[in-house]
Amino acid sequence: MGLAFALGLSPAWGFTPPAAEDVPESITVRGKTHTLKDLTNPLWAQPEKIPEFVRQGSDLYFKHCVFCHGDLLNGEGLLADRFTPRPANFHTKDSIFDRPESYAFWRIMKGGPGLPQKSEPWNSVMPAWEDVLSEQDVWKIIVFIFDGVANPLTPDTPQEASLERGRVVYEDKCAICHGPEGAGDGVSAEQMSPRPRNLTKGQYKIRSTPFGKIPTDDDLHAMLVHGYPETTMPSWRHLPEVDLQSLILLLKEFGKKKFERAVKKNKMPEPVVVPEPPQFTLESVERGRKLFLQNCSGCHGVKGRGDGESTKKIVDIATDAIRPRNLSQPWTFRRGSRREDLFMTLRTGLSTTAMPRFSDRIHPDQNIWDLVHYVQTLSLLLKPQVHKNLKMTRVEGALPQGPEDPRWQQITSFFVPLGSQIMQGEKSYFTTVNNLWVEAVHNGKEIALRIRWDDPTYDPILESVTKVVESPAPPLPPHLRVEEDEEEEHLAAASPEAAQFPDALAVQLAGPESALDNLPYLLNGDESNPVTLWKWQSNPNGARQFTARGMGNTSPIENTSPLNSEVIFEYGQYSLVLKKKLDQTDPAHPDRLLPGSIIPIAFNAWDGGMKETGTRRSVSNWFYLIAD
Amino acid sequence: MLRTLTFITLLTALPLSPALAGTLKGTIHYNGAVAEPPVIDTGKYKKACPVELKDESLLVKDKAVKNVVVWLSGKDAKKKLKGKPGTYTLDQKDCRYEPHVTVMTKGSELEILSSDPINHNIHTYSFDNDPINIMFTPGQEDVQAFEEPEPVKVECDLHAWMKAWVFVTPNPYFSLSRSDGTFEIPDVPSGKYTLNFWHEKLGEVSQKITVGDDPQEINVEFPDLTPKVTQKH
Repeated sequence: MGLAFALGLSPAWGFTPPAAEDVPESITVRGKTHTLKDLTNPLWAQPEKIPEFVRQGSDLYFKHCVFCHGDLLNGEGLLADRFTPRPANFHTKDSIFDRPESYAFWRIMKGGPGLPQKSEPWNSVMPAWEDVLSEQDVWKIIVFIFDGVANPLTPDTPQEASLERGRVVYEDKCAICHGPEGAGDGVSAEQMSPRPRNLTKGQYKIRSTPFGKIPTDDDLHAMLVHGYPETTMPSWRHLPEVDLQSLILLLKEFGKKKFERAVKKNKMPEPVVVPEPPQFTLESVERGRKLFLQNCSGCHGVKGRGDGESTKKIVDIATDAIRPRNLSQPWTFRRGSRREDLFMTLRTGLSTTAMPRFSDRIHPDQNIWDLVHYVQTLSLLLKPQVHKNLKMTRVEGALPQGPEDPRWQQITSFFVPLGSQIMQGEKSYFTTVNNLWVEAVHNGKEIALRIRWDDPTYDPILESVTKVVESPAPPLPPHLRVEEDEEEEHLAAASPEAAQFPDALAVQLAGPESALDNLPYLLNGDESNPVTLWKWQSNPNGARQFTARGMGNTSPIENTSPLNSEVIFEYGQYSLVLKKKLDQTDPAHPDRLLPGSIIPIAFNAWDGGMKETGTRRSVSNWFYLIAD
Repeated sequence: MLRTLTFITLLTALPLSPALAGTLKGTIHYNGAVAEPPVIDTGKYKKACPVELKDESLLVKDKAVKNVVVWLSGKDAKKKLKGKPGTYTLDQKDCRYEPHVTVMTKGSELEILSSDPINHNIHTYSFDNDPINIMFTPGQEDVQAFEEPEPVKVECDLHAWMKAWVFVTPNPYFSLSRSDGTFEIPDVPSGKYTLNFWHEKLGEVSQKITVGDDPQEINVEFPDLTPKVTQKH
């Protein structure tokens, strides 16, 4: 098998919908057998009820499907970038829209695990819905999708914008989240984070006007056109201009109290204008660094990962007061990550959040640009590419030691996205760990992985067992500074207490019996095709090895070489090294360390601080370690 | 001072109105159990701030409640209670807000100061007034007008314990109870009013009153654990 792996081609990284000949003749759902060839959607037989079915299907879709397939049915949901294959886009050729409805019925009922072998059923995160949704529910969802794909626009586009038209389009496109009267209480609102905006307050997070002021019409237009990245609010740029203008009229009607007052008092706020950006210089970055530490690190942390001293106050899950942005991941910036966008956010603040504005009377434009330049150095310019094959570098002799061994710098890092596990059991829809970086090395006998992931909070118990570096309070003049030893003395009485749930990270390996063309199901395998987990957790700090036959069905592995772990936490980032001398029982046994060998690998992560435990976790697809 | 001036203006402005006016005063009590205010540990800021601070959200001494806002509303209030707005000061000093509760009539201006050697951000939670959230560096000043009557919560996102209230009233006939629970609204034109009492923790109570020529003493008691919350989040 080792040889087969060594010679095996690198698996394909893509997805082709099953061809007609790959569709099974019949499927059995809850004991009932359906012959797909003859199966039709019974709901179309009641044409008078179709609008109602569409509505009911919409509610179900927004409860179960929107996070991946997206509001616009285009596969661009919140988790779209986290998984491969990507969620299906129903507007494309070969989508379910292009097939008999029985095909959609099969795909929904049997999900990823029901795919034919060549479609890599182990790697699809599409759940099999047969145990959750009834036949009726599934047909309603199909009616909703077919209706939505056929009618992407609200029908009967008028010539001129009007409040009435705004209401019609709102009802059609927005009410499901923002509620019938714009109060942010649509049927799907509860599940979302950030929650859909309450439009009756006239408060908009992103504007060109100062914090707390009403936005301009152009601001509202820009918001509709851009959407809010990494939230459930999509871009509505495909709507006709007249509909966008009608929606703007309605938004102002919803927030009438605030908008009308501004008109009445003749106090329309002045938009902030972004001046011409100055040249990027290292001097500017250095000035920006000092300004950042003084003004921003209290919340964003010294490395910008949202782990600042003051975040304990800001974050309130019950009210959906969310974390300061992780500035190292600019693709999550709602306004965008161009210099002009950052300037605007600093000058205007983010209404309804703790992000203040920086007054121009105290901070001249240069200060703001300096901050912008520094913030850009904290972040990657582009979202890293995802590679399916992760190179495992061969080193001679001893492997790097702990997470801080400088030799890790020489090893290629790979970016691995993770998404919320929303397929089975208890779910956390918005998990903390959305990606990680991994470096892998081996020396023919041992394997070591360094895994780094951002988590703004750590399990306090780690303070007593390993290196923990918190973002300090913003720098104070020397005479006001609290030195480390003084702090110790002050806190001596309180030894750290463990968090209720530990932070944890698991590496998932296929096998040992599985073949490359028949990997275990990505959610910890199943009864017939188990996985091996190398799981580290913060309390008690250490790593253990398990065999898993599905999530929650794990048993410890005895009689194998130990799995060593070493972890540190620094400025909102965990850095973990897992190391093991391979023996014959390991899924990654020594034969698989021959040049070109492939070791399938996936990752699971838990943020105990957000009560992620058990099936409430983030998960990745299968990746492939390729030995040097 | 402001009130006296206001009253004179009022008299001149309304020569027909008889000089009938009464003073309202009284004491505000709370009989419920009050725990010792929690002590706040300023941790990493202990040299820039006092090492310990006291929570000021419920100050009761011998059943007398401090920092209760008392104001008048009702039809007659709209008609008769006029006056000019003023300018008030809110200082960020020793890592607390001074004062903890500011009462001002609508249209007044709040001068925000920052006497501390460290940054604070002043973040207000309001609905009818535009909320603000501004980063303050030491010595920075800012002026903010409050035009609509409502209670406005003030917080510093950098220092979790820092909280204050700016209470905007519809007219300048208001009072803030002192540490002995007493309040006084002088020279209220005669008429029928609603007298309102608001406290950040105890909630709101009100009663109908008729003001004539004579001073009136009105003593109130907040019901035990008033569940009413006036500030929606």
